[in-house]
Amino acid sequence: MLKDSKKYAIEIDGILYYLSGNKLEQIVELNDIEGDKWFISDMQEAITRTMTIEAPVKYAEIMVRKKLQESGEFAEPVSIITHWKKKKGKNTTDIFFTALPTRLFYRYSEQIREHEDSVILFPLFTVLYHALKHMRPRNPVAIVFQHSRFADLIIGTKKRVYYANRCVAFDTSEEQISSLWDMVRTDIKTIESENRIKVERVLFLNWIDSGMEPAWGEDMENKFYSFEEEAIVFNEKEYHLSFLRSIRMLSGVKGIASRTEKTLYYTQKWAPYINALFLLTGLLLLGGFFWYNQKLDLLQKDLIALEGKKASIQMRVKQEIPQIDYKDTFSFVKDLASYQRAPSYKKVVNDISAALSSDMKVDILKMDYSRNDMMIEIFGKVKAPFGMAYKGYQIFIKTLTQKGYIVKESRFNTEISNSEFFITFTKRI
Amino acid sequence: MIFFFIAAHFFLTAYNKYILSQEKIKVLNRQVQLLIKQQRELERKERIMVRVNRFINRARSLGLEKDRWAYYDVNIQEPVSFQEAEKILTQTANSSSYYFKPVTLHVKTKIESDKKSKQNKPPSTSADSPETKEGDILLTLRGGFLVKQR
Repeated sequence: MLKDSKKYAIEIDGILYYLSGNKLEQIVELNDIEGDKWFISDMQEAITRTMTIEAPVKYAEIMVRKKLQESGEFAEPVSIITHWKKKKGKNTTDIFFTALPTRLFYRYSEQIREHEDSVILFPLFTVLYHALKHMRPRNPVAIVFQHSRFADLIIGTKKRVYYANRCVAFDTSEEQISSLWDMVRTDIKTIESENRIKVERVLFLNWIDSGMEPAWGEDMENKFYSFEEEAIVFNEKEYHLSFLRSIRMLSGVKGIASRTEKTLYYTQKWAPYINALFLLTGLLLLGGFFWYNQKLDLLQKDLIALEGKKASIQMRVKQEIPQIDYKDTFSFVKDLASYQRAPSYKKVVNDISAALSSDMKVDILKMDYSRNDMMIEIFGKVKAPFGMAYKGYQIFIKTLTQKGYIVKESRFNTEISNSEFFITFTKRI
Repeated sequence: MIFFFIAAHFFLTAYNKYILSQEKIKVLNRQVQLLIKQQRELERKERIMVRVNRFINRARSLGLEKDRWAYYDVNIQEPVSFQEAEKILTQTANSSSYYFKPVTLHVKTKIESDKKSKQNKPPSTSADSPETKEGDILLTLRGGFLVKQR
């Protein structure tokens, strides 16, 4: 869809054509085409060559320019358009270029610059080189574009260009065209022998004035193919042109134009899509806005509800619990309960008396009460032999322990016939 | 393009508000949870206070207030016979009309030998001192009777 929308200006053999869709028409000047366009030109007076230069890659163009001027091919300043170059040795570079007088190059540049719309210029051999690259052949192939009395020839693989040249006949008579193709064959054979390569295929590109497809000699080892053709209408007559197919393979990046020009061209070309994208994104964002607003409304409701809940709880939490003076009464009741629970003096004395054996005499008995417990200290003597005395002492402790008294300290000293004991008990109240 | 930027502006504003509201709700939820905890604690305190009130009212209705009771201190320190001691001890107990608050009871049974040893010493100046009175035991008793006033 994008390819179809492109406008092409094609300048071949000094005639300017306008190609739009499948319609070709002759025009007078570039300004006859409105809008952005690609301008393909064979740039008359230009020559296209391959060369091996004794110079680093960086300076290859300077050396080419010098060589061309020294050889007398150009008697005026020359501009080089490099299609491809590759470092061959330490100080050697292979280069494939189109050279044209600088004044002509400036004329084209000026024409492009002065044009209202964006124009990207493609030398004819750029189209051929691109077709070669597009095919990506592993073994060498030749592409021949025959138009009028010219045959533009390029031989190469996907990685290297071996040869490029324009073969010229005196006129377009059948005889001359036949000798033009002989020239092409000779060139191919020469390159094959010079580079020790075998050109597997020869691909033919035709134009409206190419005439019939040439008879490729049966003695030739190369296979002859015609490029895929495209039907177009020119002067109300239908033509099947394969050159147009190669034009469709072009990429704008390889064209000659300033970076700004290219940027403008692509910006204008993609503007509707970018706008559509922005519009779509804008619509999505707008949708997002409404969606978030809806969510926001729900959140606001939750927020208000939570605020209300918080306020009501805060009100309740702030309410102070009425304090009443309970401490004195509570303490007094606790005291009374403590007195109620505390074993009386008499009960403790009775417990102790009941636990004492007949030989045991208490000398000192002390009872001290506090709110939660009581402490008893008993000091006494046993007038009996040790065995009996100690047994009585143990029974005494055991009896009181069973009644809830806890032994805190106990001492028993004996003089065999007399013994002394000291015990401290506690009891919880 | 302008439409895109306007839409983006509105979208981002709404999105920011949404995020902000979510944060607010998080904070509020935490605050409400904290307040609910405080409220529960308050309710627990209230329940306790109701029980305390009920208890205090009941105690007051039963006259269990300090100022409505009389306290009679008991402080005995003298030699007594076993019969006397038993009588004293029998009385120092709770009854239906009073409480006895026990504090200290010290009993020393070997006062015979002490007396003999003290006969060699000059007589005491106080007639009421424990050494002047004869008995089986030396009794030291401290405590008090707590009687409800009518």
